[in-house]
Amino acid sequence: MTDNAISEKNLIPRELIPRTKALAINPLKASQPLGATLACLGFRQSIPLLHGSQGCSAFAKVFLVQHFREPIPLQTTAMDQVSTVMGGDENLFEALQTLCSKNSPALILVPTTGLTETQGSDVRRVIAQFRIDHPECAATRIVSVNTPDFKGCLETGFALAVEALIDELVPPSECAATRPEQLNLLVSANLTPADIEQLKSYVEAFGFKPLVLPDISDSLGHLVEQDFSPLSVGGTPVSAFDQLGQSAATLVVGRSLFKAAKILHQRTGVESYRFEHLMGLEATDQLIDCLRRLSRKQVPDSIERQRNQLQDAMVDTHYQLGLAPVAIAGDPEMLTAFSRWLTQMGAEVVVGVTPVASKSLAKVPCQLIKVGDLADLEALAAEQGAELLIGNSHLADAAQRLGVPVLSAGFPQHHHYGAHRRCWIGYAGSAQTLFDIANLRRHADQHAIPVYHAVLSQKCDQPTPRLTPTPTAH
Amino acid sequence: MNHRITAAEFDDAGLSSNNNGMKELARQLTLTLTNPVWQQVRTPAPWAISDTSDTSDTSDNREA
Repeated sequence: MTDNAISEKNLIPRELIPRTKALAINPLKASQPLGATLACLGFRQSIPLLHGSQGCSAFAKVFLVQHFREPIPLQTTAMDQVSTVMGGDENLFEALQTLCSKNSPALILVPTTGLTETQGSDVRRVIAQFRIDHPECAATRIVSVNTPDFKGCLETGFALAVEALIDELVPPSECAATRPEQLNLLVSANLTPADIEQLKSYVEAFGFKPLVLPDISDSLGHLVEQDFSPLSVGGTPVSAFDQLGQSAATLVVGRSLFKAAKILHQRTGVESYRFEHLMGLEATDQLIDCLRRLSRKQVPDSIERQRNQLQDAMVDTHYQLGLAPVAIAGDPEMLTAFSRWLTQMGAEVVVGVTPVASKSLAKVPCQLIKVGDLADLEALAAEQGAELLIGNSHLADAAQRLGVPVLSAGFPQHHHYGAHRRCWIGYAGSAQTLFDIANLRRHADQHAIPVYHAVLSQKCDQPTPRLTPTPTAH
Repeated sequence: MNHRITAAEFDDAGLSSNNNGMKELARQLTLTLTNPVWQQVRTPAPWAISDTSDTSDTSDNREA
């Protein structure tokens, strides 16, 4: 009864505040072309070609290199002041020609940027012309996607790229379930490479062969053996697009990809099963139950054990998470996943800040949602008395000013190692999130009462030594 | 050692009438008693409930 009261109280955000400022201070948003680039990197022998100025791709490249600590293949059409005014079609044409002749990639994805979108560049026509003029490059698949910087965020750019790739490369077919052991997995930008690996291991535990789209777990985060590769190494092979129609079912993780799943379903008739996120006991239970029904197999003991361990972690950490006021900054999907999971743990998500408004936010159990930037989060977190912040690396300074601990999640994370190896989903990943939050709160000691020592006691009130040495000022 | 207890120390130790210690105790009791964790750890897994009726469909997450 009591938990119903808590979850119902938090079911609908009390307020959804639209963007009010004309600028972003301490920006939260990572752009759409960056999301499209990330999606492209999940395909083998592919290269993203950003249609815009060199600065657009330089920024994207820096973010990706810092987060994944990998060489990132990324090309640009290098629009300059002349082509910006006179049209950049020649730049795109030349870039396609160079890429095809030099590296013969399996896939070129052409995301547009704010510059070319404002200009109104007709990318499809240029690609069609290139196809006619260069029949020798037919082996290279070229897909364009409209991803203006001034709309959406990383998550939507990623989703738009997956939609465009499915729309362009999946042939219509009526042979669903001809490979009954094969499962399509559509995974959103919210999942890290480690998350995708965890998801694959669940699917394999039920005897299925996963076909992940796009598979950044295979392309980002392993040692590159070659000296230099101008194209992506690892990832889903482009030939997989022809096999998607033969799978037994499609599992979609992340609301942003529901539209892509719909296109795939209409094209191939493969049944799709949707999951908004996979954080926490309830969400993971739904996934495992779905896999059990699809496979008609018993849930393996190892998964049962992990479930049990998560339940234990929930009881162990409930003291630190119960009634904890939390503020979260991230793309809508990340905000949804964390809000749901932490609310199920009895925490109170007092503030959520997201770079773009989305219809799904109405159902997020968060007391106040603001479309804005990290400066908004800082102000609202102080106002609402948040005792824990969750967000990307750019949140570190705000957390220091507020004097509250921060859990690093989302994109980009460049101030520590292993962000892309962190698993958040499933039973084990959810348990780790709880331990991390509990530890952060324990060390922050926000509710500690100083130990009382009697007057005659020989003990003194020195602070307990921290695990990390505090830097001394000189 | 000549040490006198200040009012603040007295308060922090939960000894005064306006004590934070009692408030903290109440807060911790509330957070445990009202915590939604208990129900979740006592609810069996969905497959443990529906193990007998395996004809049930997977329509929960299916596309509308």
